[in-house]
Amino acid sequence: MALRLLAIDLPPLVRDLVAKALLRRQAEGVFVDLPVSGGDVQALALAARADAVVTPLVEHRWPAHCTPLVGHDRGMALFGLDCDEGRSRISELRAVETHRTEFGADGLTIDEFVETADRAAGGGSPQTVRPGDGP
Amino acid sequence: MSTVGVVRTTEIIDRAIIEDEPACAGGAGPPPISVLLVTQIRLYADGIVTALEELEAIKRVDVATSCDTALERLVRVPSDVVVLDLAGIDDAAVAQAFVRAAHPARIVALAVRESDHDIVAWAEHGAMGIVTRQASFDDLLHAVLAAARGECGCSSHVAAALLRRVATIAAERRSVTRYTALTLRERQVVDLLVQGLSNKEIAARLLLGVSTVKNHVHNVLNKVNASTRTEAVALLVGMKAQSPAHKGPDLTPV
Repeated sequence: MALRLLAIDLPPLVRDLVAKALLRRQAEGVFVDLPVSGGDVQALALAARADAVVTPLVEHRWPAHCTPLVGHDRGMALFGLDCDEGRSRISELRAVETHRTEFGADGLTIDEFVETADRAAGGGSPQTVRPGDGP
Repeated sequence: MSTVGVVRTTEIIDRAIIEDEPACAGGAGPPPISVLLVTQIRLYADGIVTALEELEAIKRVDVATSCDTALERLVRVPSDVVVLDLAGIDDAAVAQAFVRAAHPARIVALAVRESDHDIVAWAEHGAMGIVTRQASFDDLLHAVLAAARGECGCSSHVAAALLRRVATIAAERRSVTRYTALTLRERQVVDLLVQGLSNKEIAARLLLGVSTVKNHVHNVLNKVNASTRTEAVALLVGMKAQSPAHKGPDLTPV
């Protein structure tokens, strides 16, 4: 089944690039800008029938609206995008912080991120997916 | 549950295609352009390259990971437009030197901070396009295509910052003109006026009659278009700082 990604508060350029990468993989994305007061991400993910969530980190930490999704053994695949000072970096959290992986600014492309999210959402390994890796 | 600002993938893609249509019109459209993307951030690099290469208006997109390699590349293979991603560059002076060295390549500065100071600075350094950190892919594409035509494709936010700067420069020029229109004696009076001296004190300092000083002050107020002494002092402090006459012996009016 194709990935259905819930993208929250992504900077516009990253949002557009992720959207194009999703389209290339025939995956789907739902892009949401939360109000300043936050929102119920779990309910949003449920309503959007999302398999994975991506959101910018706030000063290298998970934003408050992600708290319900962080720290669950069998939680939804959750990706944090570190946009601090434009130095994009993707960290991944799936199943308590034991499987946390951080990818430096020069480490991951948008396509690789989407493929990684696709695998993680499908119950596969949350390890980074590189070009040429099999499904 | 919040539904604020929900956009689906297909809507974003449709919007980009609509924006790009005029540039892609076959036959009568401009020739496809080559782009050099200078960025250290792989997350952006591959995504931007792939997205640009999908467009008929773009014939080639190259990537350089530093300003030095970009300059080497430009010498060997000129590009119509250079997109300089500022996000990964620590030293602004390096990027600014690159913009000057890359001339006559048309530079689009990407990820410029959303402040008037930064926007104006990059315009002054010679960037033809300015794309801020909150810009979308459409904004970037618009800036690239406009730069290729020798135009500035920028957001209304960037345009407003540039217009504010133009207005400020014009106001400064008017101020300098007003200050340099003062006679030498009026400027002597102004110097003492700014120091807070009364007409009587100014008269004593310049060995003039009080009525003469009053006349000079009256003329100064008229020339700088101030209605009160306090207002004139406030205006003159700024005018004096900007005036070339204040900085040197040349008293020629601008």
